[in-house]
Amino acid sequence: MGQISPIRGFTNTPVTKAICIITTILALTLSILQLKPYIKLAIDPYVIEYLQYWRILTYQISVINESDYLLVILLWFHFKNLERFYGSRKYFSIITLFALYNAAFCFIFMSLGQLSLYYIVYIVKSIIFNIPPKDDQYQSLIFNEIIPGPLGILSSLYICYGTYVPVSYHFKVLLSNPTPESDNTTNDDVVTPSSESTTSSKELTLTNHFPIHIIYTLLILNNGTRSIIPCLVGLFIGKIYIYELLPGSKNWLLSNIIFRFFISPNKSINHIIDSIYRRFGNNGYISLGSNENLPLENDTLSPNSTEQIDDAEEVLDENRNEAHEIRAETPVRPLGSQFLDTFRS
Amino acid sequence: MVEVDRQTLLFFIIMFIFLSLPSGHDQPHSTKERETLVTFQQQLLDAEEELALSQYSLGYGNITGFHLSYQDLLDGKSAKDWPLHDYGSDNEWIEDQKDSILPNSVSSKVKNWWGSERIKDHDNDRAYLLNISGRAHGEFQKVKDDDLVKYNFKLPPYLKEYYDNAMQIGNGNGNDASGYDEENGNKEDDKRSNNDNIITKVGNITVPNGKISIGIKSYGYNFINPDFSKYIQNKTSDEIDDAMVINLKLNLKDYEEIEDHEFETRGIYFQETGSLISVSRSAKFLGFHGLSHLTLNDSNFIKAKTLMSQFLNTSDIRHDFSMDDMNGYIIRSQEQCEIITYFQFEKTDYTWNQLRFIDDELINPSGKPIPNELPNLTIKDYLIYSPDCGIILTKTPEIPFVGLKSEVLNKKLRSLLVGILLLVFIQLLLFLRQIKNARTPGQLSTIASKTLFIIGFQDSLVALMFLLVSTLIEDLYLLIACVAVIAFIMCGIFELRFMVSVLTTQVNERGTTWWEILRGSTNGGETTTAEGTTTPTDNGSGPILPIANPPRPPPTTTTTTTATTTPAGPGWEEASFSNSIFAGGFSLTIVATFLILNSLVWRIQYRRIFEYVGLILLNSYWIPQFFRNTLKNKRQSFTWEFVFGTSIIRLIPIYYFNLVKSNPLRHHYDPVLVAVTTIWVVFQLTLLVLQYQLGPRFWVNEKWLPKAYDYQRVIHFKDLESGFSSEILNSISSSAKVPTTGGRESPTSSISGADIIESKCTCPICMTDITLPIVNTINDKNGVSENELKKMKKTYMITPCFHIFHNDCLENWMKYKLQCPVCRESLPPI
Repeated sequence: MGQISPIRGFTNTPVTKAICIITTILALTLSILQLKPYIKLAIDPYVIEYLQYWRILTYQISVINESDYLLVILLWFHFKNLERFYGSRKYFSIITLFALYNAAFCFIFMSLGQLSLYYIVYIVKSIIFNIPPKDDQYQSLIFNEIIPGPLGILSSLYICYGTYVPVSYHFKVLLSNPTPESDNTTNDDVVTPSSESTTSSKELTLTNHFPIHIIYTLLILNNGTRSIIPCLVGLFIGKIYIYELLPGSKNWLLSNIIFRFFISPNKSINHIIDSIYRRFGNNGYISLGSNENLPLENDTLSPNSTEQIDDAEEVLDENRNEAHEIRAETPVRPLGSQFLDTFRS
Repeated sequence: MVEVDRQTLLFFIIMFIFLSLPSGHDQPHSTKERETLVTFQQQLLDAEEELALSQYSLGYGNITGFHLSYQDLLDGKSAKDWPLHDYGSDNEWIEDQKDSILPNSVSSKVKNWWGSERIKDHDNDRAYLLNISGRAHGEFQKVKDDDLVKYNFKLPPYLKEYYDNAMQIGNGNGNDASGYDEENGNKEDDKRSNNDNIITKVGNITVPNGKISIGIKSYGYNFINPDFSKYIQNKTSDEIDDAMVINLKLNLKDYEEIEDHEFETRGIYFQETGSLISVSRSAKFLGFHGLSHLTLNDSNFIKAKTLMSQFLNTSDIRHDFSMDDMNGYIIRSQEQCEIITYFQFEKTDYTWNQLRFIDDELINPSGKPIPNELPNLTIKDYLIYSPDCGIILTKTPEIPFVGLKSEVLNKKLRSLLVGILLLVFIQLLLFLRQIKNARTPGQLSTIASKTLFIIGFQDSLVALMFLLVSTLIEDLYLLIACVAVIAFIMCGIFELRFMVSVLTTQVNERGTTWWEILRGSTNGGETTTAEGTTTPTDNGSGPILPIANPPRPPPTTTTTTTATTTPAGPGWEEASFSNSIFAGGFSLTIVATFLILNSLVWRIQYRRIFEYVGLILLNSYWIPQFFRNTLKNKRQSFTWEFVFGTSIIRLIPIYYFNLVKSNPLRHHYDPVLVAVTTIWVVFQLTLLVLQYQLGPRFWVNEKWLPKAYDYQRVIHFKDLESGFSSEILNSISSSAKVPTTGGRESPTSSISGADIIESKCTCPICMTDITLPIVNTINDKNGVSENELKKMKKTYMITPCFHIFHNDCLENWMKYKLQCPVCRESLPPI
């Protein structure tokens, strides 16, 4: 109940989880520290006048209003199916790729659009309305500004979602009372099963993807042209990706270290510190606690199916049994693990 | 059913007082008052009319306070005879003491520098500041002018009558029906009784020089500010794009800050000349209405006249002007000197257009590139003239009078707040880790609740202060509120919860004295803990689980204690604790907050003393923990991470405000305070570290201490025969055959000769070897080398049931249960 997607919570979707957390924290931080202006992208004045090209890289990192935030989070949450489909690391790589391509394409699209539109306006003005051409100032037209946020990435993923995630069921919504064709004289109220087969009514056939379509449509329209432009670019890139025309999309993978750091920064930092200790520190006994990340590494690297979780648990059980067996021989056993073992058995 | 304890009641009473404070809108009580009010309103309206019709050449017109020129005053004329002069085309009003209220000595000085340098080119010339909002601080000196004659402005007769009546009522029965403070009334009366004594008047500076600080708030251009733009009828003449109305708060203090004079004035800032004029106003001196004639020339006069009449129009006098406003006017007229101020600013390094760009970005940040060096408020010269107190103040030469624009100040404050937010956040994380770390009753019982209380008190002070401040600074509201919320979450939720759990574990100490806790209750403990550990598993949680320090009720032992604590249940205890802590802490915080806010206006010496005492008290949080450790004979209670982290976090702000001279709150430079607090905190930390190193009771003479069970007693050779397992003897004999390594004498010889024999046995907890020193009784008299013994004693512990463990192993275990891990005999607490 209350579950809006087939996967419960963030089970085995560490990238989605990290993205949702980061989106929330970033949006809050930007708002509290009043840094919102730094992630806005507008050709005029930022790029033309002040040459702030870095805005092309920053504009996708966070949304700056509440309704966008809600839609974006909902979409990310739904797209965790894609993470299961691709596997976490591949999914993260694709997101990175989409982010880069979207930033570049969107900026080019905006510049070209702005230029051509300006040109058209100029032509129309000077030729059709015969307004004498004068030293007109640059005008901010609809291509000038877009809303910050990962709209392009989500659009590309939306295409992927439509292509790769199969529809599991269809359902119909009847928009009007079924009108029995044979006898509509006697009992209108009671619709018998026999009469239902012969009814014809207005109906709406929906699939289980329909919430995503609705949310995505809202996202496109949420900020007018400022959100339509990045979304269109995103859709375009998604399409190219589907046809495998996007360079690097097929087998490019992000470095494992970055990926590990992204999904669990705490653990990877601990891991680094541990390895430094192991190398330089005096090699006393290594507590059982520090071995924790070994099975977990497997966990995050391998594709995440429930079978493999079970497998992993079995392996863990085996490890435990072994631990029991060799307990007599292993003299080094810290107090904590001894207590835990008494409760485990 | 709902039992409200005293503290909660107190809390509600305080809240009630807050809510029921008067709103400040007094209605007139009698027809007499109403008449006075209406007359006064009419007087103000007439003055407004007069201003609207005035011309520079025709003089002030009929405006209260401006009737007599300075020459008239010298000639001893009376304001009642107004008009004394008849201005016209042949006799134009000019800025001279013959016509003006400014004496020539003042006006000639002002004319020298005020508004003399006008910028023309907006693109190339270095311009004066456009947006003047900000604060500046400098010093003043009093100009000695013995010839200066004081004006004696008089209240209009009807107001005088009203005022006298009010005073009589105020004095007569102490029932201030008129809306005056009784205090004010008394003061006034005293003043009148000895007529010449007007020292108490605000602004009557008695010292030759002192400190001045100004706060300027600009209303913006009249065509942008919606209040003003309503009155623009004619675009060309009414829109003024190079001057604006400002609000200037002026504060004068002597160096000791014994005298403290605060004025609120309004005036005009001329952007093209970088000059500012402002005046005060009261019932006997309608400064705002006469201001435009004080601007020294005709073109300034027109701008000032337009702006001031628009400004005066913004408040609807017939509707909005209340009794309080009128009383304010009258009180000011009696208790405050009137002042006229002239400020001249320095040019900035930027041109007019650059400044406009910078101001736009500062007010509406959008990420435009602005220079790092933002222009400051720098005052080149100024003059403050008080006509009725006969005072002229000017700038002390050589001493800079500078300050920050309010946007720059806000920027600085913002980075300061981000720093504080970070500190508060780190403190929260530290606290969470500490709470996670200390969950067992054994650990909780050693934590001093006083320490937690002081820390929590500091945090609640931060929370409340920031909450109060958050409403004052609009631009930084979000950030300040964020700090307040995090601080509140920390003190109100986590620290409170932690303190409650500490108190509930220590509830068993209620009946005992610290002497008995010191003793660690060896014999009593056996029975109690035996009982305590069998029962708790079935009732789950609660304070009685493993009682590190079991209660010792005098006559009947354990059964009664368990009986008294169990039936009530842990919930009841916790609720009462959290209620009392919350109510007590909250009331204390409120009182302290008001004290601190109040202390801000104290003179500097008192403030310093308050700071020293307050900071020393607030930073003595480890002292209770030190005594608690001694009491419970425990080396460590908080983790070192928490101890050092908390101390450093609480010291950083003190360092910042006392050592960084340009801190935005303008706290004075005080390295002594820093040194004192640092030494005090480091001293406490050293005590804790020493306790860890030398043992918790290192500073107490052992003879004074009651006898407690010694876990690390010296084993003598003959002891081994009684009680200890034969394993030790075996290990000795076995090691006797094989020569041991490690640089010591071989045991074969040591059995007979050496003072200490080492014996090995296994710790049942970690299953590794323990080295036991055993004193050879034969050579006992030779004197065992104390140091070596001490060093070795640190590694092992022997229970009363003769089981041997590693020190760390058993101490860890004893956090959970006071029971021997081998034979389940109960153990005396450490």
